[in-house]
Formats: sequence, C-alpha cells, structure tokens
Amino acid sequence: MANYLSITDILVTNEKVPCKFLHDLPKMGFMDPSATEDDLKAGTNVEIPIWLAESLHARRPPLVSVELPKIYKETYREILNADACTVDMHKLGQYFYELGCYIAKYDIKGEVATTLIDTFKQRFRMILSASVSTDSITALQPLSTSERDRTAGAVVTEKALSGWLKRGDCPLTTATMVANHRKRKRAEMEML
Amino acid sequence: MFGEKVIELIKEAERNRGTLDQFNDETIRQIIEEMHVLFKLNMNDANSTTENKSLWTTVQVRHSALERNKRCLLAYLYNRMNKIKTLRWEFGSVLPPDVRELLSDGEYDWFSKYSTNLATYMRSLGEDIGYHGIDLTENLRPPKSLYIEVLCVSDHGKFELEDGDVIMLKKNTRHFLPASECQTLIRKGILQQIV
Amino acid sequence: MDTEDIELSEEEEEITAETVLKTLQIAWQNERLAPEILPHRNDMVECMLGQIQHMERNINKLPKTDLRASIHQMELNRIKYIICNYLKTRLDKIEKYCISIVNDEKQRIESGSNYLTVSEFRYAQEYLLNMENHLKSTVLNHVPGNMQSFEMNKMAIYPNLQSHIFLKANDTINGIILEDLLGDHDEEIDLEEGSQHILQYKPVAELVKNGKVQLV
Repeated sequence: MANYLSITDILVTNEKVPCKFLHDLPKMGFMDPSATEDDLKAGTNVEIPIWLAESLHARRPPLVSVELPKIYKETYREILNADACTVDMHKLGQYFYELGCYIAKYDIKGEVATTLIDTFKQRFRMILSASVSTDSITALQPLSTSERDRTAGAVVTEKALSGWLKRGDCPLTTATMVANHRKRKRAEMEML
Repeated sequence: MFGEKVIELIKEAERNRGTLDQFNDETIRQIIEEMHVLFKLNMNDANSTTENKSLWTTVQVRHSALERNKRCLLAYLYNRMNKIKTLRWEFGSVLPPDVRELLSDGEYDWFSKYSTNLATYMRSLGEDIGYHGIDLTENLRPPKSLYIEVLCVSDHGKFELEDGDVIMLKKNTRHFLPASECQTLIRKGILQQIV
Repeated sequence: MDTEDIELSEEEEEITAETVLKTLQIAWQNERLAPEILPHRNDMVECMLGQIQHMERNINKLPKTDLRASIHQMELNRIKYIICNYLKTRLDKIEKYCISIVNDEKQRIESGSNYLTVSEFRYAQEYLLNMENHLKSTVLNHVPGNMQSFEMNKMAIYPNLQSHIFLKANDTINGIILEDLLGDHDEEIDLEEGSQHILQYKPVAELVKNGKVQLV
C-alpha cells in the first residue's frame, strides 16, 4: 500500500491539502499563487501536495501545520455518515480513502478515521451486491479509483465463475500484454 | 521542479496499465537536470545560512523536492521493470522488434539478464535426479483436455509435435492438437482455441 | 513406510506416489493462498519428478491409441501443472518481496532454517542485484551527489500478514491469540480438528508452516 515504489501512493500523495506556514521561507514565494513577493512569510496559508506537507511537518521544528481539506470536514462528514452510497465519489475525491488515511493523522479527534471506516463499509455492501449483475454495476453511483479497481476485479471473478459453471472448462487465450499490444498497434495503424 | 514534471511520467504509467509505452528518455533527462539545478541552489544557500538563518528552511524544502523526484523516477523504472518481466513470460525470450523498441537499452539489458537468471534456475530443477530442467513458461494453464481444436491466425510455418509428426501452420487452417503443445502458441496469439 | 524408497512392489509403489502427490498438492495450495513465502518442499517436488519419469517410461511402452495411455498422459499433465504452478508461485513471491526475502533468508540460513532452496536463493540474490544495477545505471548514478544511494530499506516491500485466509484445522489446537490492533481486547480461540475458519494469517502462520492447519 504505502510503499516507496507504489505508483498509486505517489499519485495519492500528489493531492493538495491546505497548510499554514509556520516560518519564513525565503525564495519560496512561488508556492503561493497569490503572493507578490519572492519570499514566503510565516502565517501564509497555501495549498501544497501532501508529500511536501508531510515532509515539512516532520521537521523539528515543524515548518507547516496541516489543516483538513473541506471534504474531510464536518459538513461533508455528516453527509457521508447519513448515506455514503448516494455520493459521487469520483467527484468528491478519486483517492478519497487513501488520502483520508493520511489526513486522519492530523485529526486529533479521530472523527475522520471513523467516517472513513463507516463510508467504506456502506459503499462496500453496495458494490458487492451490485457486482453480481452487469445492469446493477452500471447503475452505481460514480466510484473512487480503488472502488473501481475492486469492482472490476469482482466482475472478472463473477464472469469466470459463471463461465466455469456453464462450460466446465476454461479455453486458453492470448496472453494479456500480447493482446493489448496488438490492439494498440491496430489503433495506431488506423490513425495513420 | 517540485514534482510537476515527474508526476506526468507517473500519470503516463498509470494510464496504460495493460501495455508498455515507449521509454520516456527525454523527460527523464529533464528531470535529472532539474534535480541538479535544485542541488546547486541548495549548495549556494547552505553556504549562506550563517548570515541568513532562515535560508535553512528553504534548503530543507528543496531537499524534500529532490527526494520526491528521486522516488518518482525509481517508481517509474520499477513499474516498467515489472511489465517487462511479464513480456518474458508472454512473448518468450526473443521479443518481436516492435516490442523491443519500446525498451531503453538499459531495460533491454535488464530483460536479458532476467531471462538468463530464469533459464539458469529452470535448468537447475531436478538436476539431482537427472532431469535437465523444467520450462516453467510452458505449463501456465491448468490442463482440461488432452486434445483441443485450434485455428491458426497467422502463418507460422512447420511445427513439429512431440511424437515426431510435422504439421503446417498456415493462416486460417484448423488443427486438432495436444493441448500441452499448443499453450505457448496460443499465448503468443498465433493459434486460437475453438470452443 | 519410507516414502523416499520407490524400489517397492507395484501396489506399495502406488500408495507411496499418491501420498507424495497429496502432500505436494497441499503444499501447493498453501503456497498459493499464503501471503508470505513458505518453507520449500523440494523433497516432494523431486520425488514427484522421479515419478513422472517413471510414468513417462510406462506410457511410451503402450501403443499410442491405448486408452490407458491417454489417461496416464492426462494425469501426467495435471501433475506437471501442479509442480510448475507451485514453483512459479514461489518465484512470483521471491521477485515481489526480493529485498525482504533475501534479508530474512540470510538470517534463516545461519540458523539452519532456510525457506528457499539453494537455486531459489541464488535466483533471489541475482534478481536483486540486476534490479540494483538497472536502477543505478539508469537513474541513481546520474542524480546529484548525496541522492545516489540505493536505499534498500525504503524500497523493500513486505507481504501483508494481516490479510485474511480460510483454513482447515488438521489437529485440535488450543490457545491461539488474536491481537486487537485498535484496542486491548485480545481474544484467545481454540480450533477443533477438522473445523474450518476465516482468520487473519499472522496468528496462524506458524501453524501453516508446521502442517497443523492447511489453507483452503
């Protein structure tokens, strides 16, 4: 999950969070789009990617304080706790859960963590019951990236199982990368 | 310099999870250049921290950016490495030229070493009892039936079976063959199983 | 009965081969379902390979169209598949967790409790070396001075020992402790022989390795 070489983790940590700079940062004014000076003054509020926020927060003394992005604040938490299944997760946050895990560290009250678990449980039930038929799947509310991956996995498994039950065997197929490579070549040829 | 360019590389890798793209030599070169710029700025400012103590925080910020760039470059390479590994198991030890050109020379070097390492390992299997190795790339699918019907989708020429028979694999011909001997050709897309 | 001795009469030989195949099948199932790499069963693999040689010789004696030849051939294909898949599953884990496996295995070799065969360990070390050289020559050697290190402990990937698995208990086992990570409500459970459960892998890892439970 959160390992050094994980592409997903790199994309998650690229998401921005609101921070307050606790010290002067000479020559770093470019980080604040509304700044007019070269230097960044202590007390400025800027949105920076969480990889930078974590790194600066971990210094002794900390260079920034991290605030909760609005989708993890009370108003949104209440919506999610009420009915997470009707939320457009794709719009709310592609990496809602993963980013939430990072954010939860800065929430002293632990409410973000609770909401994350609860939201996950609600939506998991919804996805699981929908994955048995292709109609229900398409009718689902837009999903986050990890939800989409899991759903795709469920659909593949479901197809394989019903194929095996009906036919009793698995025909051999062209290897995935070989097939994908050919598809791309064909598409490229058609464009020429 | 603060991770924007390198993120484009990462997004490119994520967009095409099922295939390998052309090795992005140019972008990597640019990112490494940016890293050198950041490093030089830091060296200069580190020397001036005795006059201006608050420069030290700036140095730390740039260092974080350097670490980030390094991490992303390594992840990009590692992700491609895993895909190239799959190429050995799906295309075999000889890559078709249009696949070979997607790899950098360094990556092709790694692919050859991987292939050699795998071959050495496979050859060692059962050597204590007189076996001359097992080809693990052959038996990747569970056997369901002894013989299967296949359609040849591209010309492949003569193919010799284990019992000595020789068949001609011409495009659009159908054959009834032992499943175990067709596996590789089906995986490569030369034969298609008819159900 | 000595399972390694195959110089027995026809009937005893069959029982031996069947036992070996069953043991290998369980080892294969465990390896596929366990998140970490398990101790190798090379003794079983080699025994089975010997059996395969024997069976192939028998099949070649029969005429090609004999029904028995087809059945034996099917059986042979099945056994070959199990062996190949077992070894490939192990290779996949070795490649994915190469840094942590090489480190752990070095320690295990010193205490004589290695999990990898000699060939596998050589493969793992070579794989890691190739990866290191590739990353160094393409990127690390070109970046600024103090960033050039190949930081193995940062890059190591560890298997998720907390993933859940289905298991069947082969014996009655008492006193398995399930840790409560979020609080202090640790639980202690007993497993009855023959019962099936879904649990986290970590508390039962040792039991899988010593055969007291098997993964299903």
